[in-house]
Amino acid sequence: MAPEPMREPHTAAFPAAKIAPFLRAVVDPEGKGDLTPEQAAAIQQVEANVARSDQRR
Amino acid sequence: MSLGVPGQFDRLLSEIRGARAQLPAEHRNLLAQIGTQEGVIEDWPSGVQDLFRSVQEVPPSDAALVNAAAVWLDGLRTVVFNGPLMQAATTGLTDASRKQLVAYIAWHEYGHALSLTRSTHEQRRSGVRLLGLLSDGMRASIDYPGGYGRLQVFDEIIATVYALLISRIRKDGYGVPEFLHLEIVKAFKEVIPWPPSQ
Repeated sequence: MAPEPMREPHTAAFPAAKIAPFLRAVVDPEGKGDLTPEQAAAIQQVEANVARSDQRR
Repeated sequence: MSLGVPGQFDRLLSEIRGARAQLPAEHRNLLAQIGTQEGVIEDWPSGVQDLFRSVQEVPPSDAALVNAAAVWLDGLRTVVFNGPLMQAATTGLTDASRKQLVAYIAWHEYGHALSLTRSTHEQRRSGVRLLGLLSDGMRASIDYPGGYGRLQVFDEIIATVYALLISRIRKDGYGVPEFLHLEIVKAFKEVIPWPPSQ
């Protein structure tokens, strides 16, 4: 019996570069600065971490 | 589902599952009906590609996966997270911040799973138009034009709105913020039961 043909994948990937913009969209969706200093610092940290990780890949 | 080196990403997987447990019961039931699972993969991207092959699907290329934080595998009804990347992205955060930000990302992925399995082709065709109705910040978080095709935009919008609304339950209950355009709210409610019945 012939093997079943391979199906095309349905790839839905969350890009690492969009992590920080997404987090800002959740905590400050209107861009009014409605985030706490802790949230702002955490998102900046994530953004820097992802950028460093990008450079290594 | 536990993938990769046992123990290495247990905390991340536990945080992701903890975020799922915080979802409204109706949504958790829907995810269970779909058969949604979650996993953390250590050997990215080869581990993901192996999973695609395990269900006779052509795996995405290295290039398509290397910069991904998470991917939905439709054939396995599973969202898999890039363990090394997620670990790198959350380095230096306090435990509380890390847990919260991981939860936001997980809620996005669960919203994505719900949308992908419940939205229609016709709804997906409206994605690019609806994208223009989002606030600038929300629109900027969606990789279009860029990584997503036109028919993928709708599910990304629903996933982003889902994470937003879930994150606001504790403060605002099941209300919908006024800044969300009525057409976005309508499209969202057509796909995701909101407010949830339980």
